[in-house]
Amino acid sequence: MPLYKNVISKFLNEVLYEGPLIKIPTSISSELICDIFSYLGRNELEKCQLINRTWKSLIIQHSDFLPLYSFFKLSIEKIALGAQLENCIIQCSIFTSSSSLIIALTYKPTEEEPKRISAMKNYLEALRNVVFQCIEFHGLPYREEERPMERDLMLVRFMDILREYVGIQIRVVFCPLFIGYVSAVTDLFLKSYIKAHKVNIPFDNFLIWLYTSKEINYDNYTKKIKIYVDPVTYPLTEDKTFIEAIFDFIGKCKVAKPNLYRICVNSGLISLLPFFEAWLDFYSNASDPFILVNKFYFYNRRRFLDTRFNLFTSLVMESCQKYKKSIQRVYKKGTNYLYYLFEVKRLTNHILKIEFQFDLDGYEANRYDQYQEFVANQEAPAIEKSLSFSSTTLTVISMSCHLKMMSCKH
Amino acid sequence: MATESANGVSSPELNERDVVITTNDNRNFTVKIGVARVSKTINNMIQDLGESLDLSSGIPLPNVDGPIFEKVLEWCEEHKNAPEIKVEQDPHTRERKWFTMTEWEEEYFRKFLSHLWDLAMAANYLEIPSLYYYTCQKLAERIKGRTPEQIREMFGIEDDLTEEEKAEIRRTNVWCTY
Repeated sequence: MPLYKNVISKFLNEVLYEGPLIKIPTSISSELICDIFSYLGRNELEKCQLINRTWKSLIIQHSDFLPLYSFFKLSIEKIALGAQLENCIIQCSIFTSSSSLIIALTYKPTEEEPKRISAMKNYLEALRNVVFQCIEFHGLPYREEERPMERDLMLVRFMDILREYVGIQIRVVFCPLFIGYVSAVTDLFLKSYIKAHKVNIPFDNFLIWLYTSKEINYDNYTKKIKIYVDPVTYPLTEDKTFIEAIFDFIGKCKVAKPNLYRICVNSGLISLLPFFEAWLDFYSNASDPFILVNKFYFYNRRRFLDTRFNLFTSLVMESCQKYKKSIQRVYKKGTNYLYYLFEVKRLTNHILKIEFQFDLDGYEANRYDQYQEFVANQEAPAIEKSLSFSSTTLTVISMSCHLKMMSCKH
Repeated sequence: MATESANGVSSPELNERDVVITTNDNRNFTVKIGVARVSKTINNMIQDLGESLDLSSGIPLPNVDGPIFEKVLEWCEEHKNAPEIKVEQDPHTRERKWFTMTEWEEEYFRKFLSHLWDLAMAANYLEIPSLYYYTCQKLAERIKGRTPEQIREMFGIEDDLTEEEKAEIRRTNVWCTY
């Protein structure tokens, strides 16, 4: 067959339908067509609007029930506060997957607000029929003198704008919020959020960053608790209160199914060694560790070279020997951030899962060589694929170190 | 033929008996009650009629014609003992989860491809969830991946949208890749 025939055939296949005629009856019910639409992704539905007027109006009429786009993340990246609440910039990015950026929106209300909002409207319309797996708010200044209250109010307001133009069609599945110590603002935000989405909001995956460790707030809205410890305003020296507060939460957790919660701590490891000691002891002696909070996440930006981390790993190893756990280590190598995962599991159930992330960002550029050296030194555990201390294999601690590319200019 | 009553007969026994079903083109189908009951509509009729059910004079189906009912019966025969299907959707995107079909079911739809719409309408009227949802899925399968032109040709649909209207649809649906 000459080569061009393939090309022609391919072209014809794109233009022509070669199957039998499946004649659509004239008296077809809209319920039936919508049931067919329910099997299609949102992109296919947008295409079906181009078929004829009937299909177009059916899809528009029933869009509250038909499938939605699923995007990974709406990231609201910059909220810079000016002298007045109105004078601000909000930048949004939408991600289809963890890394691909689709669109960046900028919202800058001023005295010309109606005009600007109108320009924004097209972008916001694009958010119709979308479900985001996650909405994140980033890069928000948070110091008392910078009026955090206003920042939070700004978020509330932004959600209102989204609601006005997008209505209930935008749904968020997972939402980490930067919540301040002003609980009234937290409530306001969540209420606005509930109002925006009216019903059926799955709050299971809500994640809240808390800025003060002394009060670990939690309520029925959340299933995950994030504790942010600001190293500037809240230096972690011998902070017993912090440790006590966490264990108070774990031990007296009043929420249903605490094992669904995750505690996220953003801090250095200064006072965390005594914390881990207490923690290993606590979990090893618990009558039923499965019902306790079992996921911990420690995030430490710019301080990954901390030698205390090595102390911690040896502490874990010792404890495992002490409590007769078996250990499995997995080590993966990349180039720019360090990720450790310790998992204590029984079958598929976590008794405990601890994640560490150490980031190397622009501030750390001058320490890049040190970083490389540190990474090189971390290769050692990779050789020990599995160290078994107990034949019961009741639990497994796996340690993985994942290094990822990052845009470090050095 | 003596008139038989459905009343007082236990269900497994009743399932083995024949019932006459008359379609809108006056064709009579003699069907085992157990097979006919796959249709909830017919099952409800049998239950509602109870004592007054006349198995020989039959059940009228004014909304289904003979050729389609014949195809539906083939499905019912195969699915008479099948469990109820479970329709599920993605909790976030609301997209319905696709069923996995058996070889027999795939072959069934291949055979009656040009009658998918009639089958779906009949299954809707007769309340046969398995046939209804599977046919809908098959129709969705035909739509998926095809261009609007191909879909119109396949279903014999008139294009009544102007170029301006199409441009507007594409403008408002910025994520759409068609």
